Amino acid sequence: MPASAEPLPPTHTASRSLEALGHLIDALSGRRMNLQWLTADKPGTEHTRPILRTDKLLLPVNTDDELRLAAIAHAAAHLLYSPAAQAVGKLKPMGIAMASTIEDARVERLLIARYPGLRAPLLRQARLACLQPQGPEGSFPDLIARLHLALLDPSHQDDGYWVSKGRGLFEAQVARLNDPATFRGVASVLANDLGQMRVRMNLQGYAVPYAHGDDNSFLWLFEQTGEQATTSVDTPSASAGSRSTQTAPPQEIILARYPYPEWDYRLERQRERWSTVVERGDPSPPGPPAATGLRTGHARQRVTQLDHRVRLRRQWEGEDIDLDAATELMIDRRIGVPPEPRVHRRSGRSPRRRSLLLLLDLSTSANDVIDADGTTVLDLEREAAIALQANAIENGDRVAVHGFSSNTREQVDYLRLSEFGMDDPGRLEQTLRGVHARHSTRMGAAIRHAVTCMRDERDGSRHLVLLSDGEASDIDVFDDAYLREDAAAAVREARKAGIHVFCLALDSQAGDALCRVFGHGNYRTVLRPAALPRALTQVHEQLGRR
Amino acid sequence: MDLSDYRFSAEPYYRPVGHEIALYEHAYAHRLPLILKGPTGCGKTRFVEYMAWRLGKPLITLACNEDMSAADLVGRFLLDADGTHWHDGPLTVAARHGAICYLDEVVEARQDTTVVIHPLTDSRRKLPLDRKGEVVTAHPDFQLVVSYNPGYQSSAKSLKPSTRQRFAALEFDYPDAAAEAEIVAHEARIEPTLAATLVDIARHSRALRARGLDEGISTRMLVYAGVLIRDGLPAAESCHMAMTSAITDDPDLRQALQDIVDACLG
Ligand SMILES: Nc1ncnc2c1ncn2[C@@H]1O[C@H](COP(=O)(O)OP(=O)(O)OP(=O)(O)O)[C@@H](O)[C@H]1O
Ligand SMILES: [Mg+2]
Repeated sequence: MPASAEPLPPTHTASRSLEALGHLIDALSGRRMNLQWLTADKPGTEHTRPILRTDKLLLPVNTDDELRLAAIAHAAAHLLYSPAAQAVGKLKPMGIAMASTIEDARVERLLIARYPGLRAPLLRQARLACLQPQGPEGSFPDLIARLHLALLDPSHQDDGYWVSKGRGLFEAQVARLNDPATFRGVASVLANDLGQMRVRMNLQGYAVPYAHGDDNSFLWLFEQTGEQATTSVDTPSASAGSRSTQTAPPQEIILARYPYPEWDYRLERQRERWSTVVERGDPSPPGPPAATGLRTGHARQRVTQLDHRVRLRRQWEGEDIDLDAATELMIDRRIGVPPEPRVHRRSGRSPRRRSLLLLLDLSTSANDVIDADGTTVLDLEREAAIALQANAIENGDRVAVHGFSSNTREQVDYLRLSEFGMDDPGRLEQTLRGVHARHSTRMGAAIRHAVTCMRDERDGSRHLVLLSDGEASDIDVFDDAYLREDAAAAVREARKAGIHVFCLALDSQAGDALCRVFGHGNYRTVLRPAALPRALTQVHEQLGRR
Repeated sequence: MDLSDYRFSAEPYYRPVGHEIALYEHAYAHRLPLILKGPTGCGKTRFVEYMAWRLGKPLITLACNEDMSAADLVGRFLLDADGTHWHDGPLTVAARHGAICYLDEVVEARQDTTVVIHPLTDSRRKLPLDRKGEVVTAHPDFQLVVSYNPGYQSSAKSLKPSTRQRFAALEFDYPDAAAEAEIVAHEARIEPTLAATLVDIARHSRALRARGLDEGISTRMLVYAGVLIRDGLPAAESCHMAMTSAITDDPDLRQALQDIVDACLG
């Protein structure tokens, strides 16, 4: 097999993160894709090829950066140009593999025409596959790798009869590259030839010979029984709560009950004392530091803001004239002394005062497992809360972290995990570890109670940031709109009380509902749960622009 | 006062993208205050410049910021050898002498500053200079135009309803691909095909707004990149300098944008 031995310089040195690859596939495919690492269930069962679904791409972990880039390009090519879930019909495994290879080449060619810069990374992988063959010369994987390269690179030399024939058939149809059916025809001719050449395919161990190619499950609709089992990434709650060490669960101790009204949008009126917030937790938390009114002094760089109460005198410029300085200036002038020209007054800056309450959604959905390590949404919420607290303290903000879940209107559980002025990261971490997620999301009641909790934060601006999957729900409510409208009402009330409410949501589908509840510009969705801690930090920084 | 410095002698290049010219003319005919809404670098400033030229009116522009006070708009007393004298601020100059006054990024100003425009922007068309004890009646040619970037899901700032409701609004967005390429080719003086590729990159970047990029790559950035390329800098480097490195500090978004640049340029 003639190998092309030209040196291939690496394109990038630093390796791309999952996040960066996720951005890229979205930008290329125009879809919202969920990207995850593919890890083995058991040692020895590692997946070596990416797995592509319509909304998800799983990338093998142990791959180099160039391969990842090519895998993203390849997946984007399918998403852009391949029909998904085609009927297998009478195709045998080898026919499927053949048709998949032709389809791979077809969409990669289309992609290269659209994005010429992706030719190099794709070609590199195609060549590598030929340099490191998966089987002896003339075997099925060897032929497939060579055909793929020949179809991708028209200038590549391959004297094999079958490969040359394949290229000839393919190039003859190249004007119809947009028509997948035409190329199914090419594939079936080539598969037939292989049969006559008595080339066999190893059914058990076959993997697409070029490592950036996916497992083709995107292309085909297999019968249930025939489908290969993939990974456990879809199974939720596999290890729910596995990480929480539960000593004395503070969630079981009731501290107080608070009745709240609820807004019934059908009646267009408030139902008084309709829901009950049940505060739970550790009955004797260490009180906030003695000097409650004072801000603790460990803020490193305080953010400042213009403050009219601070008047700076004797300034070079300003909106008013400093009368004392002006009088002196006139006197100096009369007596012939060089006058001091700084005669203005203006407003100075003072440290920004801001209070921030982070409200965590602790409903069952937080138990969803989001990666193969068993990390749950709750784990990420914990991480995000701790990071936010640290960031807020750093900025000189006052911060509290609370959480809620609900089990009918009689029981909206509310946990004060960390209070304003109680800036002890170690303690928050410990408290968070004892928390587990359960029940539903009665958002309105929780927002109302959070507003009550911010009652005494009078100094500076007040923000309530809700971390949630974005959907209000509870088991005693069947009308989806009811709790959503109630939450919207609660947000309006909070705003009237001077509290800005922002929601960081995990569910990208909830966009319209979020806009309805929180208003334009007051929510943000995070597509991959893993990005949550960082997104929360960004949100916190954006609040600073007010 | 002579406002000739504020007049345009040559026609500013403006490529219309819809009926905005006609709409603006109608608004001006009735001296309706206007809000131009749209993302950064999409042509709002250029549009006002063009309209001022077209209507033959002087244009006074002021970029707003958080530290701006009402005095920065209306004016203040200054001291000189003979004592104090009043100095009109840009808004007062425009109102007194009949210019179009353009307040760029008006949300950046604090709400207590923006209220000074209220009496000018309702039927009174008057500007009280409290400190001076004068009430300026707006010149018949005077019009107030402000710009505002609603931003991508940024809750940070907004206009008070009482301010907002004094304005008619024109919405801007990046032009469609062909028009944007035409603008970039014209402004940077580069080949249409290259301009089209730059626009292609920008379109991809705008898709990343859903992923945390505050704003996509603007028309302005494309013009910058085009200018660098015309100067002889390699295309990829120009794009990285004028667009990808400039637009975000997030390493992952920057990486993705670089990959898009490389993919599109080939
Ligand atoms: N329709 C257009 N016609 C001509 N030039 C345009 C047009 N749109 C954008 N441009 C180009 O884009 C550049 C940026 O536009 P402009 O400065 O008007 O943006 P802007 O919307 O005012 O941005 P900002 O909100 O940041 O002030 C202009 O200098 C011009 O080169
Ligand atoms: Mg501008």
